[in-house]
Amino acid sequence: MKTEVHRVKEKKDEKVTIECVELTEDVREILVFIQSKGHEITGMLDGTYTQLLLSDIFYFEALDEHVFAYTKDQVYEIRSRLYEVEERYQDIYFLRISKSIVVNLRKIQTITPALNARFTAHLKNGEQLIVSRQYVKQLKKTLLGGQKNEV
Amino acid sequence: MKYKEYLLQKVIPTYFMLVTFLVLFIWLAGNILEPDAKYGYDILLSPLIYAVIGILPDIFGYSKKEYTMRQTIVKKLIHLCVLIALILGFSYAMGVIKNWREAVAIFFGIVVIDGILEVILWRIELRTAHQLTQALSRFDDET
Repeated sequence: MKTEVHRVKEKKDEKVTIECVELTEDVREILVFIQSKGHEITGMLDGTYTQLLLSDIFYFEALDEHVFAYTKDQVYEIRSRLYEVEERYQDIYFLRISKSIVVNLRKIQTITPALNARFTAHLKNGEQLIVSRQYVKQLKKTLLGGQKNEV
Repeated sequence: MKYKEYLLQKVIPTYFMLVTFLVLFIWLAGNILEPDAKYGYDILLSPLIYAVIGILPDIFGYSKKEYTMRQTIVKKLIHLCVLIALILGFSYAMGVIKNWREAVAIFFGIVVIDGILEVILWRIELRTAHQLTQALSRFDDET
């Protein structure tokens, strides 16, 4: 596939155009990757609001009515509810894996079995998250069933 | 996992695996303990009946609660103890156990079969986990 990069003067004029014969799975993957790169969310750390790239977020966790976004080495509080995060970003590979966690699938290194039909997701930052039994079916559907190709 | 899914995905496959292993166990234990014994057609039903007893703790032990690793291990040990008590009790009541050697053979049979089942179930989950990990490479943002 040929690639071209043209410089523009304004940030608002930046765009990515894909020219393809057919919207294959590979092209869709590229498309979703680009879309997620552009996504930002506002997070608060020590009273300061920061724009976070979704691609930097490992997972979201709901704790006592608050939702937190975990990056490689920081934890930001965000204003959204967990179900909103789940709905809004499910097309860019964020998936709920337990009642309180929505994970970025691209940040999972490996998956291993835990007892009792659950799994452990080992993240690229070394953290481990339990995939609750209730959400294993959706994880299988997403990863093995090709459910995330509609963009 | 809903109860119906639990029955279809866990209990019923476990039942048929149990039947298979019980047939093997009866063949092996029979050859060792009573190699010259002759039985009627009724013996063919015994793996089916014992397998039903074997899945009783699963049927009544269903819980929506998600246990921790430690709780799961404790639950599995309790499950095994209940299973041993049920099968030994049933065997004694039906006159299958006539001496302590047979009781010990059945006890070890239960432990071994339960262990094999756990290993098989673990292997299935391991294979699923491997497939999921393979599928994750599609999402890798560092390639």
